[in-house]
Amino acid sequence: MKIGLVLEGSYPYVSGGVSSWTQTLLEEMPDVEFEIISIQPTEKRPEDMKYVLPENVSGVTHLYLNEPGQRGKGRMKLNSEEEEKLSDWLMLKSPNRQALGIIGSRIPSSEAFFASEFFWRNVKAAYTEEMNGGSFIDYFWMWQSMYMPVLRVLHQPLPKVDLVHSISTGYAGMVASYMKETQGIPFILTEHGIYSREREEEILQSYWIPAPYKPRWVRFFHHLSREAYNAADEIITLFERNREYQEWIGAPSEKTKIIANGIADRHIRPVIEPVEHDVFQIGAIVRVVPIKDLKTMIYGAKILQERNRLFKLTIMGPLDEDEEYAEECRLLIEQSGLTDYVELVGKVNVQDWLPTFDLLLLTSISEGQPLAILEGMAAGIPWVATDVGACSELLYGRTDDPFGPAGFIVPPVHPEAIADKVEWMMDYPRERMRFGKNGRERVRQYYRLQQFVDRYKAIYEARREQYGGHRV
Amino acid sequence: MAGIGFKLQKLFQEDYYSSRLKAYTFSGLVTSGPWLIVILVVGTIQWLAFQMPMLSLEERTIFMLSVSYAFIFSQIVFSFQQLVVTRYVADLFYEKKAHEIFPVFTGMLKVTMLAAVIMYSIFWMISPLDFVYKLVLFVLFMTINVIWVMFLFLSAAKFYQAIAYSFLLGGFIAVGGVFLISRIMADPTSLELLTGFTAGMIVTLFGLFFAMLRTFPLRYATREFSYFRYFDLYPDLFAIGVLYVLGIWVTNFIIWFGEGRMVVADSFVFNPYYDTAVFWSYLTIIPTQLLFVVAVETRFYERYRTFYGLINYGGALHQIDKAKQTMTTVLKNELIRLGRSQGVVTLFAVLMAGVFVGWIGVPEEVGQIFRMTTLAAFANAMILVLTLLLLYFEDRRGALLVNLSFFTFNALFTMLLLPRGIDWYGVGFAVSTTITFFIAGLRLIYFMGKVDYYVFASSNRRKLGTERFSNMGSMLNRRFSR
Repeated sequence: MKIGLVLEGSYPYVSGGVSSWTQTLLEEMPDVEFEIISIQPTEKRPEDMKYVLPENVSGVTHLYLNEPGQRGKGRMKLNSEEEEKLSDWLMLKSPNRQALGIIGSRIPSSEAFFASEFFWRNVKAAYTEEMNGGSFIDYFWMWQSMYMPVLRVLHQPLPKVDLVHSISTGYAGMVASYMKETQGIPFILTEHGIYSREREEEILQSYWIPAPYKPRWVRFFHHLSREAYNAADEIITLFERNREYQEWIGAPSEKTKIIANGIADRHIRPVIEPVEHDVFQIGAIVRVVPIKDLKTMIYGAKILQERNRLFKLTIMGPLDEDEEYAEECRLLIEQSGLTDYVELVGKVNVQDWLPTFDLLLLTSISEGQPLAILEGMAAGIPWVATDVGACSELLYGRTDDPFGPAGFIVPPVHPEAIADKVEWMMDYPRERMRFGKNGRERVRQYYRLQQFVDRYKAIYEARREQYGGHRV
Repeated sequence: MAGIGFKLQKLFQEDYYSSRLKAYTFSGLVTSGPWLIVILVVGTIQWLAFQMPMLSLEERTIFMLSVSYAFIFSQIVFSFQQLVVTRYVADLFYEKKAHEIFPVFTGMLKVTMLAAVIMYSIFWMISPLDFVYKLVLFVLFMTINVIWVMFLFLSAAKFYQAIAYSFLLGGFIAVGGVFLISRIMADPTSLELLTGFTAGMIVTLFGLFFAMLRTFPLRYATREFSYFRYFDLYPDLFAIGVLYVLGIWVTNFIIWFGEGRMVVADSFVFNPYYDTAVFWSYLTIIPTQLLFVVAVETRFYERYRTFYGLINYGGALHQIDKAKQTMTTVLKNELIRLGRSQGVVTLFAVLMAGVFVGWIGVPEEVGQIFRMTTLAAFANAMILVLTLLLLYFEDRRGALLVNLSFFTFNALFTMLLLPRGIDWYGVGFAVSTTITFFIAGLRLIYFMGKVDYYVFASSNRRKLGTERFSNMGSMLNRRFSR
């Protein structure tokens, strides 16, 4: 079985959560052949790769958003039915896979498309419909820049596969929908972060998109997500909260499903006897970047120090991803007089360090389903983490969970709350131990890597059967 | 042409009779000035020649045909480069690269002179006229060729007064020269008349040349042939220019081989009836020459600028729509007005043809042909106006279509009707120009309906085609222009 894995702006050129997840998936299914379909803004070279492709990867197909697609010749000739379908799609009215088919196979080139009367009529209609009083030429160019990447991506050659698996909605989901439409294959969607929400935040914060055009850009990305939700056979996400977002955006709930990340059995430790440290040992497994909000963590440490608690906070994680931010954190530690309390140790092998900690800390302002929490839980260490992403679900368990809490959830950007909970953990070692044990049990029950692999394998098999087996 | 609008607008805003008169005179002079002056000069000289009892008919004819041939064939040479270079120079002005214009002038001049020399050497080999006469005629031919080239650049720089004064002065000296010769010489010859006329044209040449030096103070000759790449970019402009000029003369060329054909001095073929009729017919469309400038370059141009301004500088859609409507309405009204005014003049000329024939003293056949060619001239004037408008809107495809049918139908109908003899002369010209006039009108109506779409879509149209002329230009640059 050959699976097309569609990835947007990540694997194998950008490291991060999605990429390491992908690497794990590839490595854990050596008997399945994968073709990577990597969507990137501009051209990439082989030496830009951040990962070593496993043996079972047949190759990487590149789709570039900002490079010209294959140029066909001739003018655009669509019949009225095709025009109507495409029109609906361009106006962001309703998801419609056939529209993608028309874009990919009936439009000879983006040049012909943007020079067509059909395109012109649609821009005018949309402008009128959207009440716009602003510059029409700017609006026209916005339409071009909105649909240019769509045409470019769909006009580049795509591999033939038995099943397509997209790791986000957006352009990746669009490509997968198109492949399903044109190749008649099943389409599995896994969404880590909620794509349309992430784009929405970016757009609202961006200064380069004029304010009147922001709503349309937001709608456009929601439209792409709905398109993917509509086309996908299965919509998988990592945890309940994201599943709810997907439903809210338009994913039919009967298609949605949660498959959490997993921890390899070798990392799930047997029960360790509690060791009393002279100094309370706190660990943080984070990349030193703003989204992890290390400053709040350092403020929390300052409060503990002011309360005369003895502790050592060890922050493990690369310092070179945002050097400016790392330097700011270092300065903050110095100026707060915390050099004896807080240490940035850089990138280390987390598994070696884990057994030395009494407590782990996470103060992110945004997360998906952090692997760090699972790793800590697997090692039997309790957590204090912010209420983002799946943290609460991991530490407190889902509704039917029998194991009890594995730590505390605090609101984001709240140093005082962090200090309070850490202090509580210092004062109640017995409960702390139980929290650690609860976490480990939960991981053993629900978050094992083998479960993750088995479930994906089962889905691949079932869908392949349903669509008529091997073809490639 | 577009630039003249502002100046004229100012003149027309003061709505006094005197300034309005000034404006018409001015616009007439500045745009169709040279054409008008040349026609008037030729007309006057022809009339003067009639007043010379000593001048034999043959000498007179040789002189008249020499001048006509020089004008016709220099126009054909000019037509190859006219629109393409105009476009190139306009773009240089738009990109504020005025300093790069002078090399284009010298480059175009070299190409023009080369073509003119080649063309004239054919005539030189065929014609048995004596050496001195051929030499003077050569000087005249080259002079007129150079005049067209400088005329193009000075128009592009909007230095209209210089053009008008140069042509006026040159024309005056040409007429004066011929007049003096007729008085002084007891037995004037065609050579003397031609020398007098050539002297006048040389004065015009120098007038324009000094204007050129003043207009383009930065003069150097590097990369003179870079403009060749515009032949690759706008092959349609090249075709439009050539087809229009050939379309005008192709009927004459064909009829030169029909009934009434004459050959003078074994050098010049002509048809006294048809050529004379056509000459007078073209005088009847002087009103269009004047009115087009005023109607289109002022009232219409203002709306045209508003429309494009709204598109380019962020107008809302309803503003653009409204500007388009206003522009369309104004254009329609101006064209109707133009057609009506010219129509009245043409109708008058057609009805009075018999009277004129008696008055001027030409054969009755000329009057018959004149009625037809005057109708053709009317349609021809409208075709020119519509072509210019299509080019205003960047509808080069449409302009090409119009001029292709102009040339094709003119050649076809003239050829088909040629065997029917002199009674049918001019009919083919009239029919084909009328058909083409309708084609042009329909194309403009069609294009105006979608002009806003075309403005946006054209920015996406790919430039296809060869690099042939670009490469040739670079090669010439390397070898002859550093």
